[in-house]
Amino acid sequence: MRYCTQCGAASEANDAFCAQCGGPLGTEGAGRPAGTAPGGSEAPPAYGLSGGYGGAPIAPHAGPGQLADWGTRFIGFLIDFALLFVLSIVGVMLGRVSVALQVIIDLVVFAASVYLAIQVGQTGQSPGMRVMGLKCIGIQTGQPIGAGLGFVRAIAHIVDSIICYIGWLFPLWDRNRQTLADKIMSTVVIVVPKQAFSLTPPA
Amino acid sequence: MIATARYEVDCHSLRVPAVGLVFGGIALAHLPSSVGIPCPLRVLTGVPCPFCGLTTSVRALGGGHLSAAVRAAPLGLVVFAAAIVALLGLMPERVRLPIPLLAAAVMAEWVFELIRFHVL
Repeated sequence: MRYCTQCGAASEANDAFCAQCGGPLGTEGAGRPAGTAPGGSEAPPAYGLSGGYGGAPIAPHAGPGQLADWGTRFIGFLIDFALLFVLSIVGVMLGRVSVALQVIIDLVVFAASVYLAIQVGQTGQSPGMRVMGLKCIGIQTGQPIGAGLGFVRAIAHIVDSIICYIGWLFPLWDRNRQTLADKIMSTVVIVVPKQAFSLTPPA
Repeated sequence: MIATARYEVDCHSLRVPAVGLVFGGIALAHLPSSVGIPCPLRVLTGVPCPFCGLTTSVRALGGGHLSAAVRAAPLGLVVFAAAIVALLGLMPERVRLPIPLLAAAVMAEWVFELIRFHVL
């Protein structure tokens, strides 16, 4: 059992943030989650996380460490999407020359999609997310969720799409700014410093 | 869980997506009409979802065809107008919408689309 440093509410031992107010929990050995300010003199920024699906208002906007807003996430998505889209267009154009070439390009697009999903899992960031200063982390750990779960999260986005893409819009009103895939995977996307564009995670 | 979703809509940093929607509509108006966003529900079942026709509507508005936009999806006018408000930077950070109004608008739009696709 750990206790919130802001409101004092008790939380699960392995949670990183208070389910009541989203404040940071007392550090019991566990390191500060990635994305939060290191060694601040005041209370470190929390994500403004709240449990469940309704009730409290959407978390306030602020700088690094806070939940990212929908617009920023959408632009990040568009950057990744544009990469794959350009590849697909090349595939369609080559398809007029040879079907085999198109199949090869389609496989490359699929492999690239998987690679991006694994990047998000391993580092918390895809190329678009690095440019926009976004990071996907597990709610409980505050850390990236790992390659395997990153792949599963990408699959879980099917749920966002199957209901006419409404799931992708959830961060517009959800108080933890989660898509349905985020809810399934217990992840949130937070604001981190922006980086230069790179297809692979910087060393 | 959808029933308890917040009706407070977070309109912070919607400006770039709004620019995308408006200029996307203008761009689509000059592309073949086959370019669009497939609806999973309609592809799988043949039944349109409440938001079917929005791409068509936004494309029509991008081309300046108001009546065509209304025929495709009246909700498209609302979306396009909201995008222009956001584009001009006039959208407040938080917009509180009553859930009954939202539900009524979506249901009305759905009935409209069901009729348009000859399901009703």
